[in-house]
Amino acid sequence: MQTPGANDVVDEEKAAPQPPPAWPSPEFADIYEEHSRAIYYLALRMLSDPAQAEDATHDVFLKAYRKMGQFRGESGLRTWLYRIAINHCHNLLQTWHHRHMVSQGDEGFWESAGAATETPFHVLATKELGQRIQKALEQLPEEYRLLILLVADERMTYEEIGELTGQTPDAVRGKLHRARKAFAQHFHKTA
Amino acid sequence: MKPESSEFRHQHREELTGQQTGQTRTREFGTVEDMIRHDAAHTDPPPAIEDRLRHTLAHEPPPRRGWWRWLFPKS
Repeated sequence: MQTPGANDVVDEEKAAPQPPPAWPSPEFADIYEEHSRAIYYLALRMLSDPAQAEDATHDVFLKAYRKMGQFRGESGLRTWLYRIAINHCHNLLQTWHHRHMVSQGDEGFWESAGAATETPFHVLATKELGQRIQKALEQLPEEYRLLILLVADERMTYEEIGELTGQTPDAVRGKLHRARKAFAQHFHKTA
Repeated sequence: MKPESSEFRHQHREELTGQQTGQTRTREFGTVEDMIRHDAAHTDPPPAIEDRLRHTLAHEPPPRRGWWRWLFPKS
C-alpha cells in the first residue's frame, strides 16, 4: 500500500502537461517560425474572431505541409502561404455563420492580447489600437480588407498582391487608393 | 512599396497598474500600412497553435517528395 504522499507524486506526474512532439523537420519549424505571425494576423483581421483565426492558422500550416510537394518556388513561400490562407478564410467567410452573424470577437482574447513581457500600459494601448483597426476593417468589403492587409506586409510587392487577388498591379494600386480612403474614414469614427 | 500619405493618430490614456495618471499619449502613424504593421508586430500568434500543429503533424505521413529542395536548393 502506497502512502498518500507517494500517490500525490504519481498523480502530479500523470497530470503534468506533455511537451509537444518534435517538428517533422527543422525546415518546417523554420517556416512556421518565419511566417506564422503574418498568417495568424491575416486570419485574425479577416475573420474578426481570435478562436477562428487560431484554427485557421493551424489548418493553413497543415495544408501547407501536405501540399509542400506541389510548391514549385515560382512564387515566394510567403505568397504561397498567403494563397492558402486567403482561400481558407474566404471559404469560412462564405459560411452561413459569417453571412448572418457579425462576430464581436472574443473579449477574453482582447484582454490577454499583447506579449507577456509588455507593461500593462503597453498591452492596453496595443489592445485599443487592435480593436480600432478591427472595427474599421470590418466596415470594408472583403477585397479592400485583404488589399490593405497584404500591402502592409513589406515583403509583398504589388505584382505579388495582384497575383494573389487575380488582378493587375495597376488595378491593385487603384483599388488600394479607394481602400485606404474608406479605411481612414471608418478608423477616424472609432476614436 | 510606397504608400500614399495620410495620417492616423491613436490616442490613449496611460494607466499604470490600475492607477490612472490622467496623462494622454498619442501615437501617430503616417499611413494605414504603418499602423497595421505596428499592430501586426504586437500581435503574437498564441503558442497553443504551435503545440497543436506539432501534435497534428506527428500523425501525418511525410510529404511525398523532398519539398525542401525547392526551398533550400543547395541542400
